[in-house]
Amino acid sequence: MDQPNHPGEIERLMRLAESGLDVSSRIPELDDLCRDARDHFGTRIAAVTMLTRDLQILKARAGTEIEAVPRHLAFCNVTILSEKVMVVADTLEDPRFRDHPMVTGEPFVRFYAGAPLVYSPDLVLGAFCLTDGKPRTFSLGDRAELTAYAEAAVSILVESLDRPAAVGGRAP
Amino acid sequence: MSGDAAASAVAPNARDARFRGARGRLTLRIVLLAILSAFGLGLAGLMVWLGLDRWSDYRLYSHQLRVEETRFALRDSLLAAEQAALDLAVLAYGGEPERDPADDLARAAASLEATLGSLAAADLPGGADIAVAVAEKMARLGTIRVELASTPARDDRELAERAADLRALALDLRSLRMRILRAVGVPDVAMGVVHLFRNYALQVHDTIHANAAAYLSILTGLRTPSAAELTLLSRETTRSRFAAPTFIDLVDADPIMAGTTASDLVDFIESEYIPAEEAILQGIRAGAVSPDTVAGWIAAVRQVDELTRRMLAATDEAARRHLGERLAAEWRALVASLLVSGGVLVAYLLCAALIVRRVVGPLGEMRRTMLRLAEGDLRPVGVLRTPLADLLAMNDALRVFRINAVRRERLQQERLELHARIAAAAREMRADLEAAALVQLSQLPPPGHLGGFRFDTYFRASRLLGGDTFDFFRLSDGRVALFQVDVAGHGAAASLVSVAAHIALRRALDALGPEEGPAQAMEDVNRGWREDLPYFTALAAVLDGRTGEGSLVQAGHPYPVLLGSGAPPARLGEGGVPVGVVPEPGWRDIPFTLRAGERLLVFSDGIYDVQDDTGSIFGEDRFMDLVGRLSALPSEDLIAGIEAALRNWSAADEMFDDISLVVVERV
Repeated sequence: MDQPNHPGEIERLMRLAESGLDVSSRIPELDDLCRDARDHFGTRIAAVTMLTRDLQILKARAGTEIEAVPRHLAFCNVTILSEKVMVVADTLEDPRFRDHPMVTGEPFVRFYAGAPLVYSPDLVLGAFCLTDGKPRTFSLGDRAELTAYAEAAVSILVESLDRPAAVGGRAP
Repeated sequence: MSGDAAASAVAPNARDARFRGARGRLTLRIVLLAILSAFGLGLAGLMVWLGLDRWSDYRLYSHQLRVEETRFALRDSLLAAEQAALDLAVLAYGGEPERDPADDLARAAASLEATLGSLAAADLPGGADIAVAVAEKMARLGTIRVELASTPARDDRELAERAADLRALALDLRSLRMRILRAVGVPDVAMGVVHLFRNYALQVHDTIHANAAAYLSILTGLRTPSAAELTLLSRETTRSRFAAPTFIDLVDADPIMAGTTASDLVDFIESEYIPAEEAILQGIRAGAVSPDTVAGWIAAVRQVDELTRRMLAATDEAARRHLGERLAAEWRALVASLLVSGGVLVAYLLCAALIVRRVVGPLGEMRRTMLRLAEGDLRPVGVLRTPLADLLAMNDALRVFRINAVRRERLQQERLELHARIAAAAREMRADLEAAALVQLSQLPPPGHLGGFRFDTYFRASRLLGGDTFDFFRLSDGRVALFQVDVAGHGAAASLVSVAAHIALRRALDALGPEEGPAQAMEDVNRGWREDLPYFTALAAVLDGRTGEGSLVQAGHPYPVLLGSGAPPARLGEGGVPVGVVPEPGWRDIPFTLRAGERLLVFSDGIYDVQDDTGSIFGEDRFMDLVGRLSALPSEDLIAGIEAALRNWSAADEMFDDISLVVVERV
């Protein structure tokens, strides 16, 4: 799949670098959040992804051990283009994804739902996403709850940013 | 009470009513359960009613069958009695009886016994009375049998009397049979023809036996008939002929009677019996009846008996079969009705259970969730287990509402935290500003005497920090220097610039040589002023206390005012450009002289810019007038008067611009 042309992608990558967020280190609370979301929605995988220039990094995850995916293969590329939840009820029915290597091959993704991680108006970090091996519907309530999960993930990320700064910033 | 007052008195009641409505006890759940219960009860009632209806039909046929058996037995007894009567009459005539009449009577008694038994089982209306009548007939029959046993075999008259008794008994039994028929009626219309034909056959049988009894009595010579009686007897028999074709047509068309030998009986009476009876009648009329004719006629009567018995037996069998079939059909219908009812009730119970589990239950759960949300409990909303799209959509909307509420609460929390942080930052900043203001104020010299001059001052910043500053001090050559600065703008930035300008001007004035004037100092400051710093207006003066002579330089600052004794206030200076605007401003020293008691007023343009509530500024003219009016006052009072006038003019408590004023008086 071609990477969608994000109009502000270069600026987004600059903002991501400026934000001081560590894209790869694990945060236990985020993993807990992913497990909670997976149980709540009953999907196979729940993950918090962050999109760098070349990679989609699964910063937190439940139901998979994949740590990163080449950026051009990331479903979340489409999710970060909007502030709304993106849902692909059945990847085989969606011309954008039906020939995607992760649909035609392992892990045979048939369902995807992603809510953008909006850090600031000009910085979408990645997405809080769910995938499953079976097609399924995703109601308005599901969308609202997934958005809430994404917001909770951003709050955890922001807190992780504040923590070392607070310790190092104050004179003893 | 006015209309409005009345309305406001009613409104709370209406509100209460609405409130009570919202807290009403009637819930959708109760309504649904009530409808389901009512429907279920109605359905059960309908099913019970249908079942009872079927049961009643079944009971009817079952009863009918028992009543039929009663009537069969009764009829058999009357036929046996009639046969016995015939045999006795034949015996009296001197003929050979076909059977022993005692056997016939035993048969009749047995049939009556059977009648009593089936009468008890048939449970007829008025059955007890009929049973009493049957028992009475049994007693009569018993009496006849006893009498017959003691009757001599060749006593014709005695035998004929016994025969007449039996015929009377048979007639009573017939009327009893009719009583039973009347008591129950004919509930099954299909049996109508059967009943009609049986009655017809019995009627014909009875007529023939009655005639037989009459003829045998005549033939025996027990009595002599009149001609009229003979005609009447012949009519009795032939009368039945006319009804026969109609009955035969009905019998042929009747499905129950199909296969019976009814037409054999009718045909025999028409073709054999009536001619035989007519032969007897003619013989009697002629006064001579041959024994063969009598024998032929008696054989015909017996043949009628036989045919009647056969026909009735076939009819009985047909009636039993018909009633049995109907009874079986009713039983099947009853069972089917029970099965259908059971099925319908099971289906209803399943539907009701489905509605309760999938509609009523989820509705109640949603109601609880809604109330929970309304009370601010934001725990997750469960997903309903219901197939109804409406309820699922409502449940979904509730989940969205909950998330909205969660987000609203979080935003509120974040807003409060932000406010707290802003307030803390503002407090911190204000403390910083107050410290800075203190520093700025500490730069300003206190009023007092210096080098032969008296200095009085007034300073008021429009905010904590101002862009105005001033200073006066003694130079190394004994002269006194004075300057005032007004940086464009207010606040921290302007105040910092004013501090920089203060330092720069003080240094430049300090560095002046004995022959140099303030314009030199101003030029020096302008040269050293960074381009990226804001410009400022300033006025600097150097005064000699010994002579009262001085010079000043005006850099965009308001014109200073000279207050001479007895003279109107006079403007000094020539304008000039502010510091930091152009590299070569072309300032020059302007000389002036202060005699003893004369004063010089130096001030920033904040005085002119004070606005009243219409937006009009105080202005230079009004200020000059004011100073003229107050010129006789000492400097402290002059400053107080100016301040009071500005306060009066000002619409706001705070001034629009920084105000500073220095009054220099030669002493």
